[in-house]
Amino acid sequence: MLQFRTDPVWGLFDRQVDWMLQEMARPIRTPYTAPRILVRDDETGVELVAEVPGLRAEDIELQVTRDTLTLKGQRKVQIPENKKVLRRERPDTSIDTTYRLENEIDPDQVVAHVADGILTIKAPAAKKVEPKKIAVQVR
Amino acid sequence: MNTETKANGSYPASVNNRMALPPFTDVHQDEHGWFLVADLPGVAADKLTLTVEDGRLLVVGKRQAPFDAQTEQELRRAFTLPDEVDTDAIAAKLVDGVLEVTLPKRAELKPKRITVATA
Repeated sequence: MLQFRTDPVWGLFDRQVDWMLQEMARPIRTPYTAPRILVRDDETGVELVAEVPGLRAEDIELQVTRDTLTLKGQRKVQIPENKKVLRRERPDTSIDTTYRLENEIDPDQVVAHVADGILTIKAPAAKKVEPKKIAVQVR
Repeated sequence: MNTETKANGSYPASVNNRMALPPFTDVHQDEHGWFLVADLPGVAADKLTLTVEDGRLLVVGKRQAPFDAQTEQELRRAFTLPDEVDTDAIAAKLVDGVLEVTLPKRAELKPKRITVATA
């Protein structure tokens, strides 16, 4: 009897098992990775919160269009001279990310500020362009 | 390198608002003592407490959870201090979400320069 090499049912099952094994092998506490950037993107607008310890306003570059948001920023961790390094965990941060937004924003209304190592960007949703009604003239 | 990401509003599963996060920390040493540098993004100076007890330094910082003004997150980590640390002389400063703690050696343990007298 002919048997298909890629059995649709068993293939699906195999994938489920693979996924399950992957999930189980994952550490229970996902390591805390940096930089952590969270984005909320809904009809009311877009809000971004990024952890940027040690970065100041002049270290951060932000570019926006109606449907994208590009964030750039870098931090190089200083290793002091003449000192022994006993523990080195703080990462060199390099952010260069373009977010493609689902909801259009108004690029002129974007507000960004950085305080205590947290960058907050708020962008209200773009005004919906109402369809224009054109009266048909009778000649 | 520019990575393009689709923006989404979901939290990573690991970000539980009640979970205490351990801050990334660098530790350096020289002949005068130890230096501890910790990333505490979002923690203001008045929301940060440093406690030394039983030879341990406990760093606890509180910050507002992202997108949620009502919830507080805690960043917490404890460090075992070497016996040589002069606990009364510990100094700390917090700038742009980065904490720097100076842990000097007790004065009697610091290297001393002895002037050689000429006969």
